[in-house]
Amino acid sequence: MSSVTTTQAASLSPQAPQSVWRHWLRKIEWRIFLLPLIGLLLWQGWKLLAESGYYADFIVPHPSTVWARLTERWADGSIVTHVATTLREALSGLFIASLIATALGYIIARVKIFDYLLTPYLIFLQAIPVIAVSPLIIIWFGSGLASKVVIAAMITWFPMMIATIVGIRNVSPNLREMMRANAATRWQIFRHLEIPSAMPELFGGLKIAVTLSVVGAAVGEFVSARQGLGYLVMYGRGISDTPTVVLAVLMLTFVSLVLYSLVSVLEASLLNWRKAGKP
Amino acid sequence: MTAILQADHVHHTFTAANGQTIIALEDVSLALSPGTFTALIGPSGCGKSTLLRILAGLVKPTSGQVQFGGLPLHRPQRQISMIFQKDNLMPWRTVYENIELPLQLAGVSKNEREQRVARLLYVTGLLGFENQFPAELSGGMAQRVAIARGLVNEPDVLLMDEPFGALDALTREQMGQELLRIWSTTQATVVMVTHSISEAVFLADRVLVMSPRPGHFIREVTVPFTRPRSIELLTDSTFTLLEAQIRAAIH
Repeated sequence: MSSVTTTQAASLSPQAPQSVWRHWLRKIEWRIFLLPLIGLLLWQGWKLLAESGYYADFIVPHPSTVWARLTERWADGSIVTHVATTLREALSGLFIASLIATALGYIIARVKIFDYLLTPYLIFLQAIPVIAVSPLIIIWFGSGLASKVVIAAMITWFPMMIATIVGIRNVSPNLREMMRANAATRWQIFRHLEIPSAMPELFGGLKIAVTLSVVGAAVGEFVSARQGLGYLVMYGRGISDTPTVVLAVLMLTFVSLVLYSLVSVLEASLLNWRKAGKP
Repeated sequence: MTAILQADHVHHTFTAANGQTIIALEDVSLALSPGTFTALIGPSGCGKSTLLRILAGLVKPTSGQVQFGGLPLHRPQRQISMIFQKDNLMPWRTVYENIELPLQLAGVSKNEREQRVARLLYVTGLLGFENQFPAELSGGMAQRVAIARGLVNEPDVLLMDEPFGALDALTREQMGQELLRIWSTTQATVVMVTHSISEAVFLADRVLVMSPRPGHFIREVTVPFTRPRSIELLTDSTFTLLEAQIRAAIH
């Protein structure tokens, strides 16, 4: 059958040269142009709003003012310091939370008694609003790196744990039996079956957690800090410089987006098998 | 000849979800001579699959004993391979990596793994498919991979639980012939659970017929045909006679 279609295609193209154009037009990914277009529209909308005269620069700062703040802070290097601080806090928190949450999630998924004993307390723990207890965390852990790491961990562990539980529970019982029939050890089942099988769910959890980790770090910085993008928000507010506030918020968004994209790229390269067999 | 795998007076009961005790197997004894092909046939739910799992060491019988190579069998052994009704392939592993799995688990060196997988790829007609993922394969191809995986560690015993049950009738016939050809390149002792009488007679040296629950053997039929067997056998008069005997025993 495939030979029939190829001969048809080969005989059609020289007879119809305009189909070459159509072929190229179809091949271009129009989405690539659409994506920056929407961004440009938002930018222009913001500019129009700022230039309309209805709002003072203090309420809606002009994009160019925000841009000026960025170049100033880029020149003196302070923006890099703030980004690096928030990034370090967020990623350290996420790392620690991932270790604890995957370990907890695994034993809850595998051992019934742990599920029964731990789950109610863990849900109780998650029900505590992190933002409300963040002043307490600052009191306990100081206003340096540690408190922000703790807050970032507190906000990210839950999605990671749920992802692990779902991932491990979804491991096919048939594949478990196949591994047992092959005299696999517990470690081999963990290494060759459970981890790869739970990967899609783990990446789902990581995608949620990675953006939340930035939120966690910023929340900690809101309460008490001397550096970081959350601190920059509060600093800008303190000196009534709205452009700095907007800059810090945009940078927080940017950091989250970059981290999320990195996780997505890693996911796509590690889980390339999921594309198999799909048109 | 001494039996390689042997079950003595195996009884097995289990508790159903509603709390009822179900007798799955009642006094089943079985001895498998090395290199033979045995088919287990019987109505649905007669405990065929349970018996196979007991022979694999996956399930511990309520009473009775299973011996493998003269020693009591307590847990799955690498020399006993099992092929399931579903292909049970790992979707994240390629064909090559799926076949390689049992060798990896047994700690076989990478060099030797490569050689053995290559041989199995050749024998099972999977050459050229080694880098495909299971999702890209047809049902028959996937089951071929499962068979290759079951044979790659050169097991003494190969247990098959309706290996072609999920395939369409045409593929099934073809796979049966393939299996005989592949099996002839090994020395494995085979036990195969099947629902198909003609498949059982075509493939096996002897066919054991099981009763409805509680399962036990009600009839043993020795299949006299020499090997290699060809598809023409299906219309042979002795073949149809054996089929009729087994059908009569089941109903």
